[in-house]
Amino acid sequence: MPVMPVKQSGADVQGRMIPLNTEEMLLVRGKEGTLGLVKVGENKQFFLETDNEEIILALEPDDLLVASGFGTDETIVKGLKCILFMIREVGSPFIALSKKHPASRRLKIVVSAGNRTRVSCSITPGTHPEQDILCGSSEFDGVEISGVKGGIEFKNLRYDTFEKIPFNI
Amino acid sequence: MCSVGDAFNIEVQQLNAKFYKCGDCNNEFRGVGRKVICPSCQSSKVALMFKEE
Repeated sequence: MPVMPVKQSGADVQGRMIPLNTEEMLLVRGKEGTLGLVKVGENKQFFLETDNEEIILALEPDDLLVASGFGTDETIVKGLKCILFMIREVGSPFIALSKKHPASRRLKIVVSAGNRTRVSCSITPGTHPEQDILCGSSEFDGVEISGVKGGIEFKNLRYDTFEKIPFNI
Repeated sequence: MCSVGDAFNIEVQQLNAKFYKCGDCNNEFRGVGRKVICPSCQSSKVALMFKEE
């Protein structure tokens, strides 16, 4: 998988904007987990489906789709890219399973959408959309990710590494 | 907004989604965000019906 010439440690990017365009995906590699981030871009309308209703998610081009994978190998990286591609490019909806649905424990990757995401490892398996919380591995606990014009800003990152890769399949 | 692995417990009721009605096709739907468009006809001529409690 080709890697663009951006590879930095988390300590180098605190509070600094990392440029990201719509043809790129930013990978944040930790020791236990991996985050994949892409810009929302021009496909600004997404769908959240539950058992009994549909909710339209109207986002801004500089907002983010953030996928959190519980693993660090290339299979997880490919999975992150595929899920983000399915959502942004194919237009697949977010599907919310009901509480305690047996399929939930099989998910290896979770996704957040919006202009701000906080990663937490301490929440009960599940998320609280109104708080923009996304499950993540422990090393990402407390990390805040914001979509800003032309890029991404991080807070509370420690020693993770970044890579930009082309966002294509 | 977020989906999650293990005991999936998304609190959709707390998304602050609002009810909208399309001025072109009369489609009624729930949406969240600043520039909601009709999912049925893609019209931007949508009006807020009332705020979600």
